[in-house]
Amino acid sequence: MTNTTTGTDTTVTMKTKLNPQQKKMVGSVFWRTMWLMFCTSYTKQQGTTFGWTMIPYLEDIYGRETDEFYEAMSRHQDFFNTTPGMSPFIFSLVISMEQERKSAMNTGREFDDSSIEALKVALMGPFAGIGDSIYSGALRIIATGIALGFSQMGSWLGPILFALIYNVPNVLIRYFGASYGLKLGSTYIANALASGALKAFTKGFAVLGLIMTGAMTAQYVSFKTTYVADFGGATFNLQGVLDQIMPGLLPLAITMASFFYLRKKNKPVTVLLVMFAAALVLTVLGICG
Amino acid sequence: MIMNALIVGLVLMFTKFFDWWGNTMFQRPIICVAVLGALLGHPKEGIILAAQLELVFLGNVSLGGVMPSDFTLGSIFGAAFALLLGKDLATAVTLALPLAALGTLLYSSMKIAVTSLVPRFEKLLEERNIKGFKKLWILQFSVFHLCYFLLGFICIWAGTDAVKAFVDIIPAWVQKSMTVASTMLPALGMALLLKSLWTKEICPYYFLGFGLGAFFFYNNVTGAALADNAVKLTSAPTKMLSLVQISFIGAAVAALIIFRELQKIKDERRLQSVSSSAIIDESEDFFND
Repeated sequence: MTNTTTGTDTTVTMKTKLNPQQKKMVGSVFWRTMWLMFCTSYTKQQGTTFGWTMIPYLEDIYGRETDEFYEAMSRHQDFFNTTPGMSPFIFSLVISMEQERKSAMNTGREFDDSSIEALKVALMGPFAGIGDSIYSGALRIIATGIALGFSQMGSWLGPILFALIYNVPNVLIRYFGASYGLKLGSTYIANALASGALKAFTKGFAVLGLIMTGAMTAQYVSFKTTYVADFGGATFNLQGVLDQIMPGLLPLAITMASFFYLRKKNKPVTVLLVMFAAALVLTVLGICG
Repeated sequence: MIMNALIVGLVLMFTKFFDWWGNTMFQRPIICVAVLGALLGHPKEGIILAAQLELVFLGNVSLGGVMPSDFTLGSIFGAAFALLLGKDLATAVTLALPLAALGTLLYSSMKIAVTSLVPRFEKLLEERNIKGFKKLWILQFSVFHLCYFLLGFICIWAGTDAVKAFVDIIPAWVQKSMTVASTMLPALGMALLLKSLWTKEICPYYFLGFGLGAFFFYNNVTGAALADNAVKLTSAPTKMLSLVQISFIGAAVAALIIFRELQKIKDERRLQSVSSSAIIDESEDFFND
């Protein structure tokens, strides 16, 4: 069942419906990729578990305990690292490539084994980029922003909303990733990578992340002074003066100062220690606290 | 005490488990500390403490396999001791920050242990022992998570009295300055987030977000009193836009960016095809002459 769908600018051949066996495969990839992080080593990151995840599919394609199976398992032991939520898509593509390889072998066509590894290497970087900006930049920040207010009031809605707002898209991205990987096949994604469409989405999510980070700087960095001086009847309220210059001046200033320091010297621990020292001094001097 | 130790051990283990399994973000303090509080019998305090610790560790994310500090371990222990000893946020933060740093050390040494197993996995495949491969894979992560259970259990079981003695000798001004520090620390989190999102091209969006979050107030009437036969209202300036509302605006801006970028790609491609066809036309003209 293949249909030709006409995209906006390129024509791609894409299966619009999955057969029952493939549908089962989508569910299986969805559940097995949940375990991707469970053997992260310094040398291969998720590489070992990539192989573990492939076991049933490779057994299915090449047969249990065959030479071909072990040879394929050894091919899937190399370094791999991407945003786990984006991995079902890559797995689906890799599985369909392995199936292609098997059918090529059966019909005596040539198949370049290294093309499978090349696809993995080509995809893990860009997918980690777009994945990190979706998951860490946008989803987590929005979930935190919505949930924190409820949590601060001691309401159970806080943690529940956080879990749902983050995980409903997480589950959807994983499930439809697995499904679209099987539908699209590897040529389509090569086109998308070359055209720069992935980059456009990464940029959009980074912009959303920046806007939310700015808003959170304004609303959740609550540092302020409590310094009040009394000049013979005229009280001088430092925080009041600062608020008149610009609301949120101190939070913005310390965030920017930390950021520019981190960009020069990547030492978050130093910033941490300086903040502790500053807090001690400011409290003892009676400027804060 | 043994019951509490069991609870902390189990919460720590399962939080670590769901940090990896499906990447559910249950390792964020906003979730795991709330669950811990409920199990220890302080549900409301737990949720509020969870929100406060979430703010302290807001920017701590592990990107690309690098964990700046084990905020999960730090906040679970900090919150557990604060709740069990009947202390407040200042105590929780005072304990959580150094413990989070120690937790990173522990995590890296456990990751080194996992890394040392990688050659074993390869050897098992060479020996055509897929059963052994599967067994070792399950064994390594079971031991990994059991270690975290034992750590939580033993520290609470044997350490609570020592921590109580330590917390009791911390002078009041140190605790006060820790509270001041906890209002500053989210700035470090924001700076870390900015580091991953900031590029020269899109950095103004950070300030857009900040402005939306910081500059819009309305006077929220907090009380009314009758004085000199006139009603006197007391009011407090309150932020007008919540993070949810800002994320709505942010999503619209992000969509604009994505559409513009995609349009740019399309235009470039059209330009290319036009210019290439123009060359052909010219050459045809040339040959026709």
